[in-house]
Amino acid sequence: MTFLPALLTFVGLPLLLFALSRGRERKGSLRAASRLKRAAWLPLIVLAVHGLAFLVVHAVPGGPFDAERPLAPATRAALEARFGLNESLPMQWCRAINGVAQLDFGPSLAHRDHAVSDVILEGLPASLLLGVGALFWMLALGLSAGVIAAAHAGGHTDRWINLAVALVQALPSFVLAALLLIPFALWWQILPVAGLDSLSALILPSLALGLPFAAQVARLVRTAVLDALSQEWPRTWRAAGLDECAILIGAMRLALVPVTAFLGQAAAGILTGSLVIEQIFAIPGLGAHFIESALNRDFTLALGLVTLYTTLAALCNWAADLLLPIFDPRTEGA
Amino acid sequence: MKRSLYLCALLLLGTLSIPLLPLADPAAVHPELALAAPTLAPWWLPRSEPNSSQWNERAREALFGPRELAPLWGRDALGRCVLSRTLYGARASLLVAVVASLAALIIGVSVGASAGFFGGRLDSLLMRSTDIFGALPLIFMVIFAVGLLRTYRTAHPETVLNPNLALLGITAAVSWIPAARIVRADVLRLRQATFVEAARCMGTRDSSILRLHVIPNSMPVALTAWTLTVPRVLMLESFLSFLGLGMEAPDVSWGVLLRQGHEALTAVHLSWWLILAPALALTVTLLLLNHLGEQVRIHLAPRRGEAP
Repeated sequence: MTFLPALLTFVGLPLLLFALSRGRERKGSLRAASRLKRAAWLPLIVLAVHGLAFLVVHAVPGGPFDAERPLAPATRAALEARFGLNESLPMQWCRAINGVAQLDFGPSLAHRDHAVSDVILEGLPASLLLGVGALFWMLALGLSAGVIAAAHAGGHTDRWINLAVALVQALPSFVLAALLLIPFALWWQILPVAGLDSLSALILPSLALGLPFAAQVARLVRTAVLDALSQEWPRTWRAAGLDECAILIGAMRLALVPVTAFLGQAAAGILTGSLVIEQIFAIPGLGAHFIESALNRDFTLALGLVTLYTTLAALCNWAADLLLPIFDPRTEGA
Repeated sequence: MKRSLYLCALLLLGTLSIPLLPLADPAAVHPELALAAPTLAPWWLPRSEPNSSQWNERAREALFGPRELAPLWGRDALGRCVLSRTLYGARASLLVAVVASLAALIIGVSVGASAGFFGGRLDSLLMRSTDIFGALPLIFMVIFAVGLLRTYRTAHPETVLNPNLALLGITAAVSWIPAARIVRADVLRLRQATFVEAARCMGTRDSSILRLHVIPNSMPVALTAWTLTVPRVLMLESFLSFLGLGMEAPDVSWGVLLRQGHEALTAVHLSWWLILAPALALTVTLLLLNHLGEQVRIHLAPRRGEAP
């Protein structure tokens, strides 16, 4: 059967995972059960998004070969047969999801002679590097700013940090990128303007991408640390002779709970923001391909990238859910 | 609360009165003056003749005489006045933000109120679909859809499909979820209220109770949801315009200006004023709107059903 991979991935896998989760539930291991159940939803989300995107593509009239100059009917028919566009819609969709199950999104329509998976594989490392850099700034700056603000709660430092946080949160990442580019890359020229040739070229784009999320993290951490410090254990620790530093570290551990819960949302936001940041800094990632493909009517590439982005966002959400019980055992099995 | 409300009203009034201000024509091209730096030297320039006798032109003439403000904030790559382009861009940006968020509010209130009021199977159906809708990173679908629409329009210029209207619809279609959740939580509370019970005892039909008693009473909460939606929609619009998927020429919005500013930003010719004007305008507006949303939320905190 040709559609076996699709059936296995989108029907068999979720069913299997649901069944496993049932079994775990009966054994009383709620944590494993909820993990499995969430994992079972992943292929279904991919399927839903792919289906939706497929519908959008085919709901908009016009085909990928509608140029200014109409093609000869024979050429057109040959092209459509080559890319499988002459079949009925449900059949095309079945073929497409069958390909997705095998990580094969078909040939790209605009980049002739390249498969969509090649284009994705070529752009993915740069995009991932940018995303990881942004996550790094988000956690490093957000955690430290939040803890410092909480440690000096009510003081001048706290007020300045709060002001900076409010300001950065209101700035869209592309405005932030300009504000960083003008002094560092254009006036003083200490950092590269564009490209991704060296690690120093990563600093500005990842900073521009990560800062708004760092502001949000700083807010969360500040509230959580203050909340933790107002509980009773810091008094006990102090009475036992531990210094303030140890208490702050203990409070920070508690503050990791809301930060972890925020990670999924942040990852989705970073994926979104990477589209503009990649364009501003001319990073050879997936963002440029995505926008170009939507404008070029490169159906297969756009479909593949929408599916990929959504899968990545869903995966990040799932991973954040997995991490949460490590920092907060109460959320186990929730 | 009051102060930020006044500031927002001032912002809106200022935006509405832009056609009355003595600004240079935002579309007037001066290639010989391309990328002229900001200058304060001539404050006024004589007005090139008014191109129409519309009421705003006549009012402007009466107020300020036959002159216009010099391009105090420099000129762009085609020699157009950055100041007047930014101010005219405010009209488009804020119009989209206000109208699209109102449309989103209408969708959100209808979904949330009917889910909360009728409960049962309708509630679970509506709220589950809202959950699924909210879990997808819709921005990619939006970019995708807008891109496809645009290419369709370039291939078929005779179509009646207005791109800016499509932009409004699409931004509204993805921003209604918080409003629906907040309003539903409030309607769940209102449903138990004595006045709803009284209306029911008098034999009022469910739809009339919803229309006359429940929805008007959940308006404060809906207003909170709205103030939270406006900055988000503004951000979304400028994001799309920045990517070249939003407003189309000749309309300018802040996103379009930011894009042009970025294009003009090179080490050879550092024309910072091009990007700084829309960036400042957008940031100040977002700060103001965020602040207003926060204030309204705190003000209505006891009535707030659910944190957004």
